[in-house]
Amino acid sequence: MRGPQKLKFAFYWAASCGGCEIAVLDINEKILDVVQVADIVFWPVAIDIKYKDVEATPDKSIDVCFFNGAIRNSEQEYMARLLRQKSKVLVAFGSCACDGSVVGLGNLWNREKIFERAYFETPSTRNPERTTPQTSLKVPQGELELPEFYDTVKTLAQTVDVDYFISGCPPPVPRIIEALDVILSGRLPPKGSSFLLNKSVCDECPREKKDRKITQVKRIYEIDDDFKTCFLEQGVICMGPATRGGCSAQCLKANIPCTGCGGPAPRVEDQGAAMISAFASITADPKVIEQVVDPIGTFYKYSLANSILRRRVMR
Amino acid sequence: MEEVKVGVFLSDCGGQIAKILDFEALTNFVKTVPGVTLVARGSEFWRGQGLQTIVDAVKTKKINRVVVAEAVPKISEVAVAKAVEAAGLNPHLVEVLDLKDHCAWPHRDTPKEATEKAKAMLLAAIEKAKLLEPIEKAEFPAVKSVLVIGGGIAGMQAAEDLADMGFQVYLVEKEPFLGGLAAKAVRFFPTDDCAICIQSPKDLAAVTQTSRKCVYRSGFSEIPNLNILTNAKIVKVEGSPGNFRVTVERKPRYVDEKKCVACDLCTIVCPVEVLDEYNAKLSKRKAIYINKPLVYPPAYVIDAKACKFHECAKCVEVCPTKAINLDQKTEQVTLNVGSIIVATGFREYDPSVIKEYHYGEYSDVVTHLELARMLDAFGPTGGVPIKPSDGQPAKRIVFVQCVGSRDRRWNPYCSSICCMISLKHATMIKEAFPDADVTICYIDIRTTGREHEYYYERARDMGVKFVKGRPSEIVHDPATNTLIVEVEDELLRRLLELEADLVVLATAMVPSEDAKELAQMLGIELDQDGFFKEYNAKLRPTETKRRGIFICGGAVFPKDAPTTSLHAHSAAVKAAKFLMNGKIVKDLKVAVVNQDYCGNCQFCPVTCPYGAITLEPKGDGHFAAKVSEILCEGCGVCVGTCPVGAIELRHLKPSQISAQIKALLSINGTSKPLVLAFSCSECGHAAVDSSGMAMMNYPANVRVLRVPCTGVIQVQHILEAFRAGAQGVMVVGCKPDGCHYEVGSQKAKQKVEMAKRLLQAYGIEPERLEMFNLVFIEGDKFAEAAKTMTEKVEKLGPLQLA
Repeated sequence: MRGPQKLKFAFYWAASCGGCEIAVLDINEKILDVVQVADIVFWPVAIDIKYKDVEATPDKSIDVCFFNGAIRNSEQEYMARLLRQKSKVLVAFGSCACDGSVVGLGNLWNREKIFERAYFETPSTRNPERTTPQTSLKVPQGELELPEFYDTVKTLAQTVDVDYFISGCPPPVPRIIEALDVILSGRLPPKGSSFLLNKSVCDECPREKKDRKITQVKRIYEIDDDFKTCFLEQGVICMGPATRGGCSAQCLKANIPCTGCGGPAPRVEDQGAAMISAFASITADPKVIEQVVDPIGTFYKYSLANSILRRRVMR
Repeated sequence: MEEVKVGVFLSDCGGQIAKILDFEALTNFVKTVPGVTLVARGSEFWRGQGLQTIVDAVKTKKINRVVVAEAVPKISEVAVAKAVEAAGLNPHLVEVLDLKDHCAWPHRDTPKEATEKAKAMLLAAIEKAKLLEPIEKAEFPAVKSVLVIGGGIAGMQAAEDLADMGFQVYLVEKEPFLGGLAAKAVRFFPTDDCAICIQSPKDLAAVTQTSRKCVYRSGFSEIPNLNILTNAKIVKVEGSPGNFRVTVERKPRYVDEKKCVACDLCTIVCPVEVLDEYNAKLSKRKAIYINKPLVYPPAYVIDAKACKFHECAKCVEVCPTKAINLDQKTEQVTLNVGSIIVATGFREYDPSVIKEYHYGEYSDVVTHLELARMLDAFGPTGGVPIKPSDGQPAKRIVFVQCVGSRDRRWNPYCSSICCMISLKHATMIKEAFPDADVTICYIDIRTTGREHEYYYERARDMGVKFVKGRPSEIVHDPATNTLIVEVEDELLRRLLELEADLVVLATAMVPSEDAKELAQMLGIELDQDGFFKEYNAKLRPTETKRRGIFICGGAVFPKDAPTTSLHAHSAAVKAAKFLMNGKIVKDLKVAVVNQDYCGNCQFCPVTCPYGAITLEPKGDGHFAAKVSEILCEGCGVCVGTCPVGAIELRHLKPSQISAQIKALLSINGTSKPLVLAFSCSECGHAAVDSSGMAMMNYPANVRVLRVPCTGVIQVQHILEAFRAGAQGVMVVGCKPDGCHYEVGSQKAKQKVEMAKRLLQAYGIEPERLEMFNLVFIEGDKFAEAAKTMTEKVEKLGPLQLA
């Protein structure tokens, strides 16, 4: 336990779905330990504190900032920079902040294409004036500003210096608790560490590994799952072998293949390429390769923005 | 850690390549690279004064990493490594590159561009050298003893060779007697000498009095160091090369080989008679028996399926030496051997599945082995071919070739020896019975060996008839008890109905029944037809992918006796070479697993072509991969598979690959888009070498990065190359079925195909990535590929990555 001086925590939400915020609450009664030793000084989803209040606090006055979400627009980038400046320790919290996650799949397109889809093409949209978000708009009352929507989604670490990572969509609760314990104890690991495990999801998976052969690619509804055998051996692509573990293979225990939210293994730069290398190496029949219809959606669901190529080349 | 000090030695090949490359510019460039403490230029550095320069610099501790730009990298690599080792530096801290064949010669028309490429090559070598780490030698103890499985021609030959060389040899034969298939064959072609001689030692000092050619007067069993275990089979193989523990199960013989004097009293009193399988069931034998005329061991055996044991026990009563023990049990023996030779031979295919020939239904349709027993003067018919249906002499004999072979329904391959066997048997019959009417129905007569064609001519001269055609059916006429062979004579274009007393099927030769089980136990491969697969048919014909395990004789493919002998000698030499020092010394250029990161996905053991990766239990149902240092060949296929980067090659770390990618692409100096070619160290690099040696031209924008095998390449390396500025990526490996590491090239191909699909999804033209499968003599194809790739990439326009 800390002395009378309480720690200052901040939570922020950039381009993400909000699930990470819920995950913070999923620690249940552990939150009581946290508030005993820490004050939450900034948490837009729960507490009404304005950006200007953060701007006004001295640099490095926040002890730990848990930042979830990717960097999709200029506001998020601004807040990332601001919170970096104000925080002693910055934690990339969740897949979006760490690897871009599903938000990062926006890198298959650019602003123009995304706007076109979102503001013109979707069946529920009626937009005869073809209005799209502008960064500034003059109205009688003055000039309005909106954040700039970027072409490319970036991860937190591609934007500012990050101290620790805790990936997952959302991060697994036991790992959040461990991370908090470590932080509260003051025994911080080396910079750049992840609070997930070094081993992959495959190591935690209860399913049986037999001949380790992939003979076909199927969607999950196309197989008659025996609830025992490794999904890959049944033809369903599972990202477990290439995904950083720590989730106790929750999805697999619920009979759903891993889609890779833990991000790349610690010694791997590009999660998708690592799984593709393994997949292509153990495939007995070259025809299986042709059955993969969506390589990025399959192998880079959570890591496109943090991959070597980062985004699709647009023409 | 000691500070890295790189010495760079630039050979201008006697000034030759200095006419193209600007050595002054290169020297000045190298001097600016951080970590380089010494740069020297000379005529050559792999021998003589040049090599002494390197040695002196190492000895005086001016440098601790050596980069040599030399003209003959394959030779100089070895020579420099040896010299620096003697000077006290680990020999694996040397990096050699070839500025002549990989730069100056192919780019001689664009010397400026060549010089810029040379800078990039040197930078890559230096950056790699900085990351090189010492690799130690390991010593594994090796037992100087060999297990030979199979007591036919091949096994006996190999066993004899090894025993004579002083190795402790265990010869294990599953039958009660040695000799194998050949012992039943009566005579061998083309010499027509009797087959039994295979059991005699050829040049044994201890039994010089024995005839070189006859088992009858031989002393095979008396060869020192040779232990013969008949009636025995392998049930378990453990351990590693140099130190296998093999469990052998010996069925009871019920007769003590050491006491039995082969007096025959037991067979006289034995009341049980059964069909004699050795004699193709054409005669009967007793439940206690010995194969005639003479075999090893010269001791009786009891057929446990037929014997009444204690109910009868008459043999026990009469045996003068009390050699018979009816209570003998199956026993297990564990052998500790350094290497294993598989010589399990082949067998005749059972032709009863081929319905149109009615084998097994018409008793006068027989196989070659059955005919051979008839033609044996000691055999069941005293050397006379008969009709098994009525025992009458067979006067009209028709041979049918390619039964179950060269036929996609059964076995597609040619068994290679059946034509000669038919010719042998036909001439033997004609010699003994000139009036016999002998016809051979063939598709092609294949007499490819030395003297074999004369053998065919002799058969024709003796009146053997040849009909080109594969019989469509064998019909039995019950009225005359005659067989009618229906065949279309393709040369005369007419249908023939050949009447025959006896039809002999030249059946396919197929792998021995236990081949699959044995291959599994030993961890070695079978080919598509089920024969034991050699490491490389051309250069390592009797080695397998597992060190210390060798194969020879008919187990590899059907062979005649002379070829089998040769093969057996080869296997013996290989086994001896492997064990002769009593230890196996190996540079640890192997893969190593960091078990802290191994995610138990269990992919690498499946992809390893050498069975070198096992799963080590880590408790709680968890496993981690472990590489056997002695089995690993260092290809890196496992590294190219591992989805978590837990495996690395000691001799090519991921950081070294990345550093080279960046360096090679950091300088262009040409007007063309950069292309990176990953090449394997074997055929791929050889093709690059030969294109340079043959002075073929290709543009200097193409840069080559050598890896041990293309199987090590991961998709991320390809992406890294694009990220580092490559506009095109080539992967140059061996032919898929000629890969020096078996599966690497094929796995690389699959990764490239998958990566192409990925590139497409990334909006990058998949044509920017191509795999090429080349061999040494295809230097022209490499040059062509490099040119085509460059043109293609130029046409596609610049690749702009975000």
